[in-house]
Amino acid sequence: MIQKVILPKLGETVEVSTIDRWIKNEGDTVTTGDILCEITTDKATLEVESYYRGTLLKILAPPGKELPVGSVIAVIGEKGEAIPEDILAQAGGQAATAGKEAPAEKAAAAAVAVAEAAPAVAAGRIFASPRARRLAAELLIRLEHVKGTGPGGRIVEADVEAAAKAGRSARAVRASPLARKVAEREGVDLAAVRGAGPGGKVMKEDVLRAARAPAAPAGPPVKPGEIVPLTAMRRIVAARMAESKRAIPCYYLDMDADVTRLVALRSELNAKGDGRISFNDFVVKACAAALRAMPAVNSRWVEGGIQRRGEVHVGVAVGLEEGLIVPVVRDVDRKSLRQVSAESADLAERARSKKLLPDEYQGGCMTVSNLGMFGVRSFIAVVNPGESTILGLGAIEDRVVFREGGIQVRKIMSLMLSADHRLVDGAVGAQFLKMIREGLEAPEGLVE
Amino acid sequence: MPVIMYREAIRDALAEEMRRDPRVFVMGEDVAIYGGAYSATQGLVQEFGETRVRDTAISEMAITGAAVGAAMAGMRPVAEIMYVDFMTLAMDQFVNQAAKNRYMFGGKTTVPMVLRTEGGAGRCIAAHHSQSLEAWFVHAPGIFVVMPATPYDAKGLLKTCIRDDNPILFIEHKMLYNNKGEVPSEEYLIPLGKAAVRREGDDVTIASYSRMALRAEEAGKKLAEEGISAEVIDLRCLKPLDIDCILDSVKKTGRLVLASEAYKDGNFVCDVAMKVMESAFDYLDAPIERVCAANCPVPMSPVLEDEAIPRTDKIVAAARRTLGKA
Repeated sequence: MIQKVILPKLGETVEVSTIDRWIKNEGDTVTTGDILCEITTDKATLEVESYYRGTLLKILAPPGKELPVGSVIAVIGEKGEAIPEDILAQAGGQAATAGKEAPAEKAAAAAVAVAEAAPAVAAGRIFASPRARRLAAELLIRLEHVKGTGPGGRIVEADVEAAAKAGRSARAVRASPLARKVAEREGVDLAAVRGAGPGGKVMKEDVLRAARAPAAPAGPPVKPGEIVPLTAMRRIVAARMAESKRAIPCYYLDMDADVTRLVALRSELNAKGDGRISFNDFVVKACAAALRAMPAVNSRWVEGGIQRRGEVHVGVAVGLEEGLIVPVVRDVDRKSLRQVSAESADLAERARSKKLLPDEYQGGCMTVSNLGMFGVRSFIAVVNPGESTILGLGAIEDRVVFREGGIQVRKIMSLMLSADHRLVDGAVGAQFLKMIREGLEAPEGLVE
Repeated sequence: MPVIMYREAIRDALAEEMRRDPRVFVMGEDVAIYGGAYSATQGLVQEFGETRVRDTAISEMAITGAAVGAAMAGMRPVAEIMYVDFMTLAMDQFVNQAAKNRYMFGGKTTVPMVLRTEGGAGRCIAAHHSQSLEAWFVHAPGIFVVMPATPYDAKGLLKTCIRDDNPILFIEHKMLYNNKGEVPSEEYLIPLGKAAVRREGDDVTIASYSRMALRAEEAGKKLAEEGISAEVIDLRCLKPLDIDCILDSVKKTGRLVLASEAYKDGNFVCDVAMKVMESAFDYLDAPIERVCAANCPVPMSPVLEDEAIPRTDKIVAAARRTLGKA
């Protein structure tokens, strides 16, 4: 059966990649997990694994051509199987439109993950000083990804140190598919596992061994004054947050929502059905309804103007040990509360095990962030570049309020809306937040 | 602290040991009345007399053989071979007799003798008077080889050698005799097998001995000017060798330059490099460099002699090469 090998999107902001070199050739037998080729994005050299078993029938993308992610780069099938015309035509079209050769890269500076492969590598032979090899082994850096600046292109200690500074990505860790599965199941960070397989590949046994090891800190213990290399995630979070603060003129609106009814409804729904609906799920639905009702807020600042978004996707911020990621629930306005809840839970789970697909953490219209579980009363969140607003939720507290002429105790949750003033003026933002609050205060309307 | 010359330090060591131990005596060509070809034994015959400061025939074989015999008979001779180039005539007596008698007699005898000699180029006195032949003697089990570079080291090490019960070749350098340095008047000894770190650094280790140790120090200063931090080690003793000092340094810097005035082929530093590779391979960030004399008889022409023998700038260049700089 013919299977298409697609150029994957191996990075949050990656739009194009270039095939660096093909490891497997036409006619080779491949199996799941085999590395087919190495690709270079604007930030890293990464490997493309085969998802299929069979014969690599045809390579459709030559090295050196920059192609959009999602392009068909090869076809795997049975030996002798005919390749459908439309696939060949599609590939031909890709190559024609892609066109430009990848620009020559300088050694990785501000990039994510490790530097591109040393050009001097021929037939797999890597020249590295013994000291460099030792350091690379210690830091779990693959020499194939280090650029050598020593005589004759030899990799020296300083090159490995530079690669370490440029950060590591869990994706760059060579591991068998089974090892990855086991790592996910056991909650083991692949980047911290020393692989004993061929060429340092992390195998299932290595992961199990690491899982059984006494809980070690996420990396080597940090000494005071030591500069810890940035992970890919940290680098991205830092860049986006800095960009947001620099480029987005924000203002902040503070409202308290009376969620007494919401709390009760939630308990009721959770008692009835299976699955656990969270407060965030209600908030996501309320935001989606507001976004649907106010297209001015469901927009994005782009070059050339303001783009109105037709769809309603809402992201929910998930804190991870090494940083933060925002999985996005798509088309919330078309989903029931339970559906949103199930999807949200699944996305969060996969965010924690680093198994989110790029689709799933990009493209949100707004983000919901909740720090209430830490006892935070209210907080001002940072707008994610590409979105118009972000809603920060505080802890639900019993508070004394003056209602209907008397004193009552109600459950109150702080809502803090940060809004991009280029897109959303004060009055519009206030209305938007009011709509969200009203949605939360009449929660039955959010269930469908 | 008194500042004296290298040759005065040697003379003082001899005098002090002769005063201390009546079994110590000096013999060699022109050591008595003439005071030594390089004045290292000046004044000794006046103090100790002709029995203990003996002029010999011009026969290196006789000088060495007699010293072996005297040592085996209970004396502690300090014999002098005027030029290390002439050790060839003393080889059997030194390498086969002195070096091996203790072993071959099952420990029933010892050969506590010091053979003082000098080598090295710089005086344009050509191929038979300018060599560095220490490699031949490091290669002989049973003898120690000591090569001091400073007056302080010369005195402290010579005294230790005279008190040591092993046959020891003490190789001085003809260009160092008039160098001055601080030497305490109080007695002191320097143990065998301990190198001296002349300059601390992080980027590259430069290890050498004898006159090259001084050039290595100069190289260290030059390298510092361009921001390269060199650790400079003076080995002082070739055998026993302070390999730990070198290894500790290489583990720190990752780069090693070895400098020696002997011919490049079969140079003693090749053995050092191999020892470093055996024990610290994984710490090396660059191939080990050696800076040695050209594989040709030492020229008499000053210009050619200067080119044949390692100069400071060649040590500097080698250090830069380890750092990947042209």
